[in-house]
Amino acid sequence: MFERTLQDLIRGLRAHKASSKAQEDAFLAEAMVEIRAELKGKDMALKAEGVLKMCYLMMLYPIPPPPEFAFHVVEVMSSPRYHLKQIGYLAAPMAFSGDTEEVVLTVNGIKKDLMSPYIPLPPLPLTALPHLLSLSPSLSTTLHPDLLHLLTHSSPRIRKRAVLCLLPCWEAFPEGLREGFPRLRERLQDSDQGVVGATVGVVMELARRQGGKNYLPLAPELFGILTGSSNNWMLIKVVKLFAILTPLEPRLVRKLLPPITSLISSTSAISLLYECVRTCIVGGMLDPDRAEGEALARVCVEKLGGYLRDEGGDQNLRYIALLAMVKIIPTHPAMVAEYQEEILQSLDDPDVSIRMRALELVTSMVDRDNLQSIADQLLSHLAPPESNTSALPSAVASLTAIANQLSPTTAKDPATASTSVSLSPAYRLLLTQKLLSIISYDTYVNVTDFEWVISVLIDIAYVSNVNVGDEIRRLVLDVVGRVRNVREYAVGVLEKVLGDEDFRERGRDGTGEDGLVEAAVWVCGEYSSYLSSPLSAISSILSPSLHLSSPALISLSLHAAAKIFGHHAAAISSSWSSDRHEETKALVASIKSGSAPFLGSADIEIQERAVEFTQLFSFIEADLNHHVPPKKSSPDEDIPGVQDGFAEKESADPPYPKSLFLFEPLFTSHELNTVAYKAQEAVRLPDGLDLDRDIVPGGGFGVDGDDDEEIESEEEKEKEVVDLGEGGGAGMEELRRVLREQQKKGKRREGETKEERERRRAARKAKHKNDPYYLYDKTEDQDEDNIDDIPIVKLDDSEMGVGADLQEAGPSSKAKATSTSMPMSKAKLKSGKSKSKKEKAPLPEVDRTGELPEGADTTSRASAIQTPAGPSRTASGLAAVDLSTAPSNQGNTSLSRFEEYKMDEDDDRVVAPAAGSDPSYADHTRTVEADREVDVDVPVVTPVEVEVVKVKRKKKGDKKKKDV
Amino acid sequence: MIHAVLIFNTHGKPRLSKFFTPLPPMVQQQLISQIFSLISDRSAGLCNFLDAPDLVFPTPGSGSRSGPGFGSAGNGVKGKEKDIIGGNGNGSGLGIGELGLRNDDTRVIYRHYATLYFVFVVDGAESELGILDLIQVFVESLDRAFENVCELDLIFHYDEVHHVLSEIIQGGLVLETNINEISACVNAASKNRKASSASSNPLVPSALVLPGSGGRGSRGGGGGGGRSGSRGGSADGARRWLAAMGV
Repeated sequence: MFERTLQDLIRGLRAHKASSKAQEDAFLAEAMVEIRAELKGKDMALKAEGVLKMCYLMMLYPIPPPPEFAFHVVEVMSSPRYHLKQIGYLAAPMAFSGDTEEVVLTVNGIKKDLMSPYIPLPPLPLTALPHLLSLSPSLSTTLHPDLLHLLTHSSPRIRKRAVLCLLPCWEAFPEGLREGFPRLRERLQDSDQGVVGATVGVVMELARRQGGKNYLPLAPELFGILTGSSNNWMLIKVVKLFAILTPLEPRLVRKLLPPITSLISSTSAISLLYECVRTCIVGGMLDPDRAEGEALARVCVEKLGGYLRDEGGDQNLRYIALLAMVKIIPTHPAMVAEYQEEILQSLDDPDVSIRMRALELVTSMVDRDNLQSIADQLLSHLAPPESNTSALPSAVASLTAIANQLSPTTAKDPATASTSVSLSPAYRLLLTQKLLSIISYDTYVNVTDFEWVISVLIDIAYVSNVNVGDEIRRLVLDVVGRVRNVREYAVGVLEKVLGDEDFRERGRDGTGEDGLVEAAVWVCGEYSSYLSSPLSAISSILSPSLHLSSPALISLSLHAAAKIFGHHAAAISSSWSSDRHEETKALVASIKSGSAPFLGSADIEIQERAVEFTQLFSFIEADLNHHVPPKKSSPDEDIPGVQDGFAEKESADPPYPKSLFLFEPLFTSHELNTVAYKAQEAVRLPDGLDLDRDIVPGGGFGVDGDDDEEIESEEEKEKEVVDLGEGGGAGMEELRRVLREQQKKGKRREGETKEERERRRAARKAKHKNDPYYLYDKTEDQDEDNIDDIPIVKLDDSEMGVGADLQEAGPSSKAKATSTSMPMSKAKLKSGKSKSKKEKAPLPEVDRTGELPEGADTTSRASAIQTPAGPSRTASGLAAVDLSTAPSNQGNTSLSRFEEYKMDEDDDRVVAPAAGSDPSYADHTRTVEADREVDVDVPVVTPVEVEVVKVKRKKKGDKKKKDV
Repeated sequence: MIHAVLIFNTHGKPRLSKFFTPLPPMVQQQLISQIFSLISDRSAGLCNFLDAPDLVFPTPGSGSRSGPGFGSAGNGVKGKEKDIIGGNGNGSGLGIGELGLRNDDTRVIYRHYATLYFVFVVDGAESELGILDLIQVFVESLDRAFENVCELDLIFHYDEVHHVLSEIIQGGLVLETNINEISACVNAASKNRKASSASSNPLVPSALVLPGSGGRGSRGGGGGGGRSGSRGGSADGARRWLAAMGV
């Protein structure tokens, strides 16, 4: 019998690769059958070969392994033959997953292999262990002593593997860290460099996961490695580790500076040099308060800048230079700004990786002076390459001309050709979002020219081709709402956008252009006094193709058209003439016809607005038809006030139809303002409002249960009476049902006298009086109540105006709500810092804070804002293991934390209660807690005295952890 | 730590995939094909770091990982989570990347050798340039183990590639960076393997059993036993064949 080896399988796969997919699948299926048979067989060598083949297939194809695969792997792992065992351990990480129960079967085998005196054997389980340990906490608990034992194995190859296994072990079994930490520390001074390197790696990972403070005591050993070792890989790790430690212990910086500076100046390895520079930056060594900080920063930035300038040199160095410069920006923006030229050039790099880093860097270096140039540069990336420009609608060109910020040099930059190659949609989206975010950063703190902002926003909407419509709409409304001076300009530009039918068409597939159109419609409606031509604005808002747009846009458009008409009508009343009369009549007719298609719209919002406005326009139309225009205009006559226009109906008859003033007051009753962040919270609770008290006693549930009974008994009664027989098929059933229903009705009428009915109704009414869930039907009485009781109110013209006002309040306030809520979400209270910044240069008037309700409690507002936005994360697992000290010190500075470091086997087990962590872990915590009750005061670690770090020995009893 | 080590050829066929962060197989395959499609678009002169706006290293499923210890980096010293890049991933309440869609912690670092891409997915604990060197170490180790490694070696001896890798990286942490030490370990292990399999099957001449044991010539000539002859004729023949394929 010939079994297929792995090589045969691979060869077969290669042979079938060229042939059809079906053949390949057939071959695969055949191979799977063979593998299954081999796995089930008795021959261990075949089984191992099957495992190997299965692993190979799993790597290449999304094939699920046979269900008992993990078990077979365990079998192979337990084979006594070295080469089979190795296959088993190789396959174990692929075969076992979180829900594989077979892991527990391996414990004893692994234990035996780990402890094997045969030197080649322990590395096999150690190779696979990291994966297995992370799967099973119980395995970690069991094997932890063995791993610690292996730390002192005679072979360094086994020692370093054991060290690396400690990390996953402690992750699954955090308590082990306390016991193992001193042993780990010993490995830092191992005679074998490989072991030391591995230990440094483990400490690095632990420090990253836990925060560095547990590992500050290791500083002497690490410092020894830094000064003593010549292995670049290890030096890199140590230097990176110090980047985590130094922010916690400022004194380390002084100690570290000499060796790191000497490394920077002496090393030939760029990787090490870069990491030293990076550690200087990240580790807070460039603190301006420090005398040498400034000089060091200069050295670092120059090194990085050198990488950046190295044209045609190593792209990798440019990449990492950009990476590191992002970190240096917060402390030394001026130094980085010297390289602005190179950084902006990197934005044009053909390499997307470099461009993304440059984008990151550029967005963080934006300030008031360079915002416009940077934004224009970004915008030029979004703009289509030159060749396509001609094909685009001319509006783009005209709008860019309006914006006029886009310098022709950048647009014609030869680099644009190369940039357009790799502009994937995802990159465009990222670019656009960054662009929007640098503009709106911190409530436009860097913006000096808001007209420019508006024009850039419009440009973005035109050229970005990505879906940022919501964002653009929000920003346009926000800017227009906050900055009064820009409104006139905004209306002027957005009016043009409205007229661009091509652009509106692009937005109809939901690609984001609608956002700008919606904003434009709203702005033109709200600030219609700035419109250059209200008539053309109305006609472009109610364009014949409007019905193709989204419902939100349609309802906005209807509303905006009414607003514009209201303003326009009020404006032309002063110069009323017969020409005006005709013109207005035509306008009303066109608006009516424009909104006619929406009278039957399925969208309730659209339909409601369309119907309301059509009715109002019909009224105006009727009024216009009755009105006889004066022969010539009378411009001298005073325009009566808005209210007066209706009230003085009898007294003076103005030369224009009074209905011209029907619309305007509906929209201009109060101005829309930006609402301050948290304004809602600042609204005071009215006195006497108790939201916890029941509005209806008893929670609103009626106490009666007899209502149902009554109905039931009625039904029973009817059942007794009605007997129509059974059978006869479906037709008969139907007939009987109808008959029963008729009988029921008749019975009720006959059976009761009028008095009885009255009485019952009164009783029921009384019962339901307090029941909020019972909708009382008033019409029920109407057939009996006399009609004279219905009050008749006479409605006259002026009241009708008010009534219309009320009627309109709904939609208009809704529009206001939508518009204000958008700025509100963005509005942010400025801290004192930025205010002082604001005073430096004369800035356009921006309403940054927004409106607050009267009597708002500003102090509570401020405190509410001061609470950090970032969610405070509860530490769990490894991160919760605090080796150093008791929780009473948690609020102290890192310095004191450090000094009080102790290693106590029992005493300092400080495991913060881990919120929401694994339940098994919670159990461990509890056992630790129990241990602590019988703790003995034994400080274990002998402190090592070094100049940098003083590890003090301290008595511990008073600081025992209390709060677990 | 190192999340994954991948080798695939210029057609996107995986030659080795080793994930040190447990991920479901389907996600692994998606990630490989996504990384491949991004890398294959990059021309030769570009940098070795792969950054793309739509590249997201997936978070491991909650089931595949034992709960307590992982991923939470306590008290804000470096508020980074090791395994989340996608800002939309769970629990990414990190203060650093305020504008970015992704945590900039994880990097994809690759090198291109002839027909193969060697890709390492690592997090911020690793030095970017250091990993580039490590890839070189890995490739040189493979070269020593296979004596002039080519793609076919990796195809037919993927287990051996795993063994070499396991001498360099263990559980996502770097075990050894010294090439001499690595290849000494690799040789020792393969000698052990050879001895073990020879003792279990006395019919197979031990010199012919495994690659890396006795040099190419002896392997190419022999035809006995289950595993030998895999390279079809001689080693040079395989190389010629490869050249004929144009790879």
